[in-house]
Amino acid sequence: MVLSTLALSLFVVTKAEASTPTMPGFASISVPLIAHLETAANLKQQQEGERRDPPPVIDPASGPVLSVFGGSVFSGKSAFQTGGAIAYFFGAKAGVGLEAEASMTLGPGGLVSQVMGSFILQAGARTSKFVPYIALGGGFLQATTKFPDAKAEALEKLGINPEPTKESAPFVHIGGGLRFYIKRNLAARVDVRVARVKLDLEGVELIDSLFRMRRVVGMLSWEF
Amino acid sequence: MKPVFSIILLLLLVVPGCGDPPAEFRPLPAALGDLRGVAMGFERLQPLDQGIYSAWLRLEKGDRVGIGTFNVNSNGQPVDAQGSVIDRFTASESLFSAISILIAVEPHGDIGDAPSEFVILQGPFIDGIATLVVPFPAGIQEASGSYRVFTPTDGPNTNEGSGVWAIDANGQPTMTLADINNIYMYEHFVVINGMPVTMGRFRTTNTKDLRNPWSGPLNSEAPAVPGEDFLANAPAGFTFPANLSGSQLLVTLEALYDDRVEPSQLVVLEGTLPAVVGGEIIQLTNQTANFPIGTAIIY
Repeated sequence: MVLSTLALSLFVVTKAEASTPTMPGFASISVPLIAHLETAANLKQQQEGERRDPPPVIDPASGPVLSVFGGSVFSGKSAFQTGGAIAYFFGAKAGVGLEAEASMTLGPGGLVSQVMGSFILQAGARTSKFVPYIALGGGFLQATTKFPDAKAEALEKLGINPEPTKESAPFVHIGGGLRFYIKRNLAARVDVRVARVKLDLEGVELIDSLFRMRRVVGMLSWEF
Repeated sequence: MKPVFSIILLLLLVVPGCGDPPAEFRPLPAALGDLRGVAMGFERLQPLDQGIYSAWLRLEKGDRVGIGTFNVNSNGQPVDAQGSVIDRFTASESLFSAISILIAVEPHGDIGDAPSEFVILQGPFIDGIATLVVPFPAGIQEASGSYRVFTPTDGPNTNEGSGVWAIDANGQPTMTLADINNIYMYEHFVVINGMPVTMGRFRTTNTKDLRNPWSGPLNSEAPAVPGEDFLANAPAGFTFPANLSGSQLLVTLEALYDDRVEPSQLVVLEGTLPAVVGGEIIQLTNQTANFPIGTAIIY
């Protein structure tokens, strides 16, 4: 009687593990015990039910995302921008996220360093290879320009001293992009932003003190 | 997913609609290469009593951008109509890729979509700096010449001190000028008691100039060189036959089209008549070293 019961338990465990590939380790301990307590008919019904239920969610889309990027800023001449970003997405579908970014733009006339934050809305994380998103937020930049010596001397001869050569300014931005999952945790991303920088201009209406910046960058994102 | 795409597209289309670059110099646009300002300074460019200067830049793609009009003060600084110095001319688009600049004289004081034909200074930008020079015909720095004082159009030994011709006693042309380009023509003047009188425009020195408005009745006797007798049809303020003693002789570069009556500031050759009775040879001196120059800087 005991031997037949053990043989039946082994058979049931083997069948159960084969039919539940994502069953955690606890299941491998509990199932023989349950099998020992339940009748053969009940076990059959339980196996049928487990086949119909979806596997338990142990891989939510939410979590931190680290990105590096490079691309162009289009204001006047095209300028190279590079930087990194870290984001955190909330919820099982990761539909909402916050992202902090730091970047550096190497312009033809100087350097622009900026930090910014973004609120991101996206759809379809982990359920689609393509994830579109919109983003908006604000930030702060610092621009430094330096004229070549020859130009500085020529301006000086004309009695012109173009000051200041450094300025800091806040900005707001809006944009969006598309994330494409190359692997489960690795995505390529195209990001487009339009920003309005509030320059410190005297005697100028607000709308006329806004300087426009646009950028297009390509990103690589790792999700943890 | 479609509504999200639609929202993204809508936002990207709507937002870029405002925000012109600032008129004053700012480090951010400058760092990004959005340079829209030009500073200019000049030497020997004369203030205009009539008309005004205009400045135009040629961009890399071939577009031409006007950055405004100005006059100059005695220090060679560009000034506006009120006489205030203009430190920075501002363009409506980025000048980072500008390849050249020209300064034109607008004889009527207004400008259209293009500069006038009278380009007085121009230069290419190298690293945002242009040295402006007169686009003179090549070789004009070696120009030389002389006038002989006599009046062939009223017969011999008559009012001989009232005319000048670019010919020597042997009948050979005496003026050596560079071949003219497609911007200018030569014109020569005599300045009598401070008032200029044209002797006509010309392209070459071995043919007649285009006008002989003051010459005598024997026009066929006029030599085939630039020159004039001041014998008839005296304009207001003059008495002909003119006494040319002490008068000034000028050979200038003038605009090919839309020229003014007065001599331009581009004096190629200059001479002064002493007390003359006829037969004198008046040597001219080259004045091209006194042509105006300038500097333009994009910043």
